Amino acid sequence: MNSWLDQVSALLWKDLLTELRTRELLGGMALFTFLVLLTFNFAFDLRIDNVGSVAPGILWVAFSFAGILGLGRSFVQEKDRGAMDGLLVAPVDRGAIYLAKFLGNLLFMIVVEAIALPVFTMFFNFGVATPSLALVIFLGTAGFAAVGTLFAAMAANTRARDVMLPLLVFPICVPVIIASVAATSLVIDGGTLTNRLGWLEMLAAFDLIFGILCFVVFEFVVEE
Amino acid sequence: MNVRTLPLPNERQETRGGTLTWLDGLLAGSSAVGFVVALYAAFVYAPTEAVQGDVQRIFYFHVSLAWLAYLAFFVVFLGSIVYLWKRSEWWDILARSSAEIGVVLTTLVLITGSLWGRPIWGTWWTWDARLTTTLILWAIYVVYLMLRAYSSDRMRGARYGAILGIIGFADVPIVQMSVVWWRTLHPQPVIEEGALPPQMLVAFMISLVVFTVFYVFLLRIRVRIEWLKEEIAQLQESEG
Amino acid sequence: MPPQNLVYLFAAYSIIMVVLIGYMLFLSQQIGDLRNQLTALRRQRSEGNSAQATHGNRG
Repeated sequence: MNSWLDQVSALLWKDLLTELRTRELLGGMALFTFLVLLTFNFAFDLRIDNVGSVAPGILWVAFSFAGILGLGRSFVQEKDRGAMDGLLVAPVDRGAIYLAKFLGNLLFMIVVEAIALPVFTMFFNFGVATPSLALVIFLGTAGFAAVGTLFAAMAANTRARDVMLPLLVFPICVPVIIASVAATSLVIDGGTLTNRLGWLEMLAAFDLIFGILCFVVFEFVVEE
Repeated sequence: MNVRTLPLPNERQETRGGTLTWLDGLLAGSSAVGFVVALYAAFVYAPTEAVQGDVQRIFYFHVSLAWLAYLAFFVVFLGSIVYLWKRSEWWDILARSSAEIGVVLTTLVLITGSLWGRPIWGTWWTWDARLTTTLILWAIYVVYLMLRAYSSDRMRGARYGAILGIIGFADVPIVQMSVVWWRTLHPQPVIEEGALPPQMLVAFMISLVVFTVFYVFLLRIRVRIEWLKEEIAQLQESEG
Repeated sequence: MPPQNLVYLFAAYSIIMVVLIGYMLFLSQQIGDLRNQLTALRRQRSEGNSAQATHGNRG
């Protein structure tokens, strides 16, 4: 019998392969992020003198919107094509399904963010990409994806699932958004390391608590 | 002629959704009397606050409502955990009922807080830590009620509700912490510090007790509604 | 103490009372509706049963 990690990697590989073949998701998410940035440009009439103060907010709104778009698709294929039943009948641990889905969502979001950051820099002539920002983005995205993966599985089985998913994710992810935006603006302003560390610790704590919690309760979502 | 009023022999069989008991009557009566006493304590017995004047009297019901709202959401959390563990429907019904009452109470907390903030802070709303946390709490449980309403399958809805009941309550401390770091203006709680004059404390305690009794009464009524729905669903199912 | 501040005080307590009483009315209305529905269902069922019973006796 396969070991637990083999199950995770097999499930993750299946999702990545599906994405590579169909290219349904990543292109759409990236283009959507681009359009959100474009809309913000018109909404705030961004110029070089004000872009620094709104950049963290714009980036995280774009990231979380794109994330919702991706999360919304993450269980839909299984649901619509009946593959979820097959997955649940197969001798696969439920935790492995959660972890694989989480890693897939995290990866998709990070790829989109990696595309969005240079685009942001180019459009607004405002360099933001630094190594410490990468850590903030990683921790924030991980928390968002951990909660989002659980709720995506729930929303997939609910009426009006497209409406329910953001309604479930955004209130719970308020701490992630606050901490990520605060840490991002400290990185941009070059705030003191201790300030930044506080927010990073909060993000790490959220990731840890909700990662474990969502992992544990995921089995109740898919049981039946 | 209204045929429904004629009882059939087997109509009187009482179930969990049955009529009010003496306990409900007691709870309802003591809440009614209690509210009169609590209002008297808040408006007459308690002294007028020196700085804020009479508006400060909003405090007694506002803070009691807030405490009860937190209690209601804690009951949702508890009911959710026990439901997932024991799978007894009673716990799910308890959680769902308490969530609805909690949303009503939180709505009142937000409204009364706003009416208190306007004359004292000069603004209806401010993004202070406690207000923001309460607003997010309210949003989480409104979504909880939506989730329950949108789940077509009863068992599945109960499981999903339980999951949100757990995740949502676990989120509260970290929301609170993140928002406190973000900014703060709300008066720090005065109850633990003993800064509240004794007469004010007594008035507050009275309204807290009255609201607790009232919450238990509402909860029993709300639970009964769920049992009635349950019985109707079972009858309809068995009919095919 | 400016008198217009009292407006906020009375508004707050009136809203609490109105909302709580309104919620109780909403609950009692729901209970009433559900009871009627349940009674109707039980009546339907017992009529169906007795019809079946008499039919069975004749057969």
